[in-house]
Amino acid sequence: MGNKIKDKNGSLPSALAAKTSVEKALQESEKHFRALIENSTDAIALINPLGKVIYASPSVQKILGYTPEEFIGKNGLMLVHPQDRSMTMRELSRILLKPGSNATVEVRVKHKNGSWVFVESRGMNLLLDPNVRAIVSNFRDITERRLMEDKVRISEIRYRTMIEQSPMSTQILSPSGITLMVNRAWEKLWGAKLEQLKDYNMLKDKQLVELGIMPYVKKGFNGEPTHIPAVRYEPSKTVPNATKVPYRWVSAIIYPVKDDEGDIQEVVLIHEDITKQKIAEEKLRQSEQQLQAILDESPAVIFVKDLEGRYFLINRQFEKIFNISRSKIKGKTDYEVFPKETADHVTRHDRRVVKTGKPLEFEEVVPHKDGPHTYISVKFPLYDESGMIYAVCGIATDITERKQAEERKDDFISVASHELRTPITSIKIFNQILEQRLKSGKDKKLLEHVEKMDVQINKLSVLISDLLDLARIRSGKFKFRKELLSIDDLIKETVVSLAEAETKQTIIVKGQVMKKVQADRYRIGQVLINLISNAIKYSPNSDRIVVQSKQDTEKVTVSVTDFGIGIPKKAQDKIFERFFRVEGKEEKTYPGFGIGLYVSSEIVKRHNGKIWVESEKGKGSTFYFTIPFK
Amino acid sequence: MNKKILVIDDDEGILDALQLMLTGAGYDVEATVNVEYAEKLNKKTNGGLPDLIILDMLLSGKDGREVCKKLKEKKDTKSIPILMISAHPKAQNSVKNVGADDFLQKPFDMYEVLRVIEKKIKKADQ
Repeated sequence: MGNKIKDKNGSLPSALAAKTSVEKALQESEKHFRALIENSTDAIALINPLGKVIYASPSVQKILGYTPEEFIGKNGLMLVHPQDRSMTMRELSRILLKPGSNATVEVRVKHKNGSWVFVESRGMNLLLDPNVRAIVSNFRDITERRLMEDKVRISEIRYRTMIEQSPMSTQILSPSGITLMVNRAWEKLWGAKLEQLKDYNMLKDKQLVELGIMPYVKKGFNGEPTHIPAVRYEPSKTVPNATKVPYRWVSAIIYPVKDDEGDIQEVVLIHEDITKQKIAEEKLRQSEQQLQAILDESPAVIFVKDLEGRYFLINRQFEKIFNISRSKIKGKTDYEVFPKETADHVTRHDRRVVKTGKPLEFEEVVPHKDGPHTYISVKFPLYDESGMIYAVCGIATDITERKQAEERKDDFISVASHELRTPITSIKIFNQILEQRLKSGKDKKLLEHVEKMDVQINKLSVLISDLLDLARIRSGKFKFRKELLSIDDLIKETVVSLAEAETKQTIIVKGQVMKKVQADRYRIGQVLINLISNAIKYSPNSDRIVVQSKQDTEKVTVSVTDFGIGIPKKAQDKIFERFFRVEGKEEKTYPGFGIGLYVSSEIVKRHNGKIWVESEKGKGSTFYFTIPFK
Repeated sequence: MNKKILVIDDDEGILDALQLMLTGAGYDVEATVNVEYAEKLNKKTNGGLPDLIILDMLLSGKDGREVCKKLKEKKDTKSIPILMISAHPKAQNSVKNVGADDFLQKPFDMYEVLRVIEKKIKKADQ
């Protein structure tokens, strides 16, 4: 593409030609000079002070489309883009005023085809040079370069804007550690402005050394993109009085920006603010620690397993009881850490909890090295945010000792009541013999005393029987011998036997049950005696007790009504509990262990019936119990 | 001739009371805490065999049911009615298994004891 010398197409201006023709010695030199000019990709034009082109080198065609001939005679200024024209004229006038001076402009010049070409033009005032006498304009096409520069500029703007707008705190530093730029996110993060960093050099930041991350920072400055681990940075230590931000948890990325030669131009540091995350983590850690501490101090065995049965939390008591550390059990199932027998035992209830989604409470006996232990356990599902079960939690309390103590107490009651019976047996016999003897004698007063003793001995016997029944219920040895019986007959028999005790109340019986029930005669009789005796006991100022029986298709209902002191509302549910006695001045004056109604309710329960009371304080009570036919 | 009743109990109080009661009711009474005496009973026993035996169930180291079982196995004593007594409520069923003729739970009523004894002796006589 290089141009050849074309004498036809280009000629030197006459002034120069005249000179060359005179100075022969210069001819050779000029020849070389001319070849140089005409082969150059840069174009050369000579312009007179008015802007008119008086010479153009062949390259002008390549740049502006005009042949030198076409170009010569044009006013160069008029080809300059209007927007660039005044600037060009200003520069031109400047060099016109000072011979030998020069100026460089970048202007748009109109191509022959009408398009605009960016040219860089260097003009030199050689008007006074006798050899030239013109302004020499040396110009070249820089359109490509300008376009490239524009692109770079746009990309630079884009890049700066991006950094400025980025939500990530960004800090741009010089390779020597001076901060060149920070973005808004950075200002917000650290509560400081760029100006406040003028004395700050990151490579001399002691805090970064203390936090142990200076090696990472240096790596970045040395040219290697590096991730800096999270640290808790206190900006006030670095720029005192500049910021109110006490601290931030940040992790960061540092990377160098290199030029084409691979030299580091800038270092970019992008922070990620993880303060909230860290605070949340810390809170979570604290709450987990609290939970673990509470769990560890609990005497209960506590664990949490996922749905695959893998442990993810146990407490100290668990470790102690099963002799396994939490590190060993975490992530493992029962089958991986316990013998199959134990694992089967432990997992039995887990599946049910998951299946039903409901808490399960049960008592279980677990084999241990020192023998079987009894636990009262509750297992319940844990739900995630979406309401799905993700784990099963178990809390088991060892009640072995409590259980043993209760058993000992029940055993004691059982033994004690046995032991008490023996002397009562002989006292009763002696008393009856005495009674028998006195009957044939004359001292009726003495006989009366002895008869009263007999009544008291019988009361004592009943109390002892109640105690024994209690022990039997507790030990599960409360047995029944059920037979088909008429409840009305039983009521009549019971009332007759009680009437012997000569109470002031009349016992009115209203029976209407034809159908017989399957029941233990002795035990149901005991319930009747208990209810009627209570009715007598707690209605000292009334004259009657009503015992009534009714039947429907399913059951017999027996009621015992008195018109005595009544039972306050809040006590009505509790009176069937063991050892419960209604509190109150009046109530306390009545004797009793608080066992009778408990035993009665246990008897009724074991007949699949119900027992309850309706009562109004001061007006009396009605006790009901039912026995179903089936 | 009066009917003879043997009473075996480890409690002196019961023995005294029953002896007094039975004597008063016209029976000849032999009352003892000595279990071996009962176990060795035979035709040649001094004073002859009793017409009825009242036997306590728990005899301080001996189980009355064992004694009952032995007596019921021996030819000489198997037809003697045995009335077992105990403060233990479960006893009622277990004494039947060893062949006792009846059971009374302590504390019992004097008249009830006498009624049962009379009934048992009458039955044995027939």
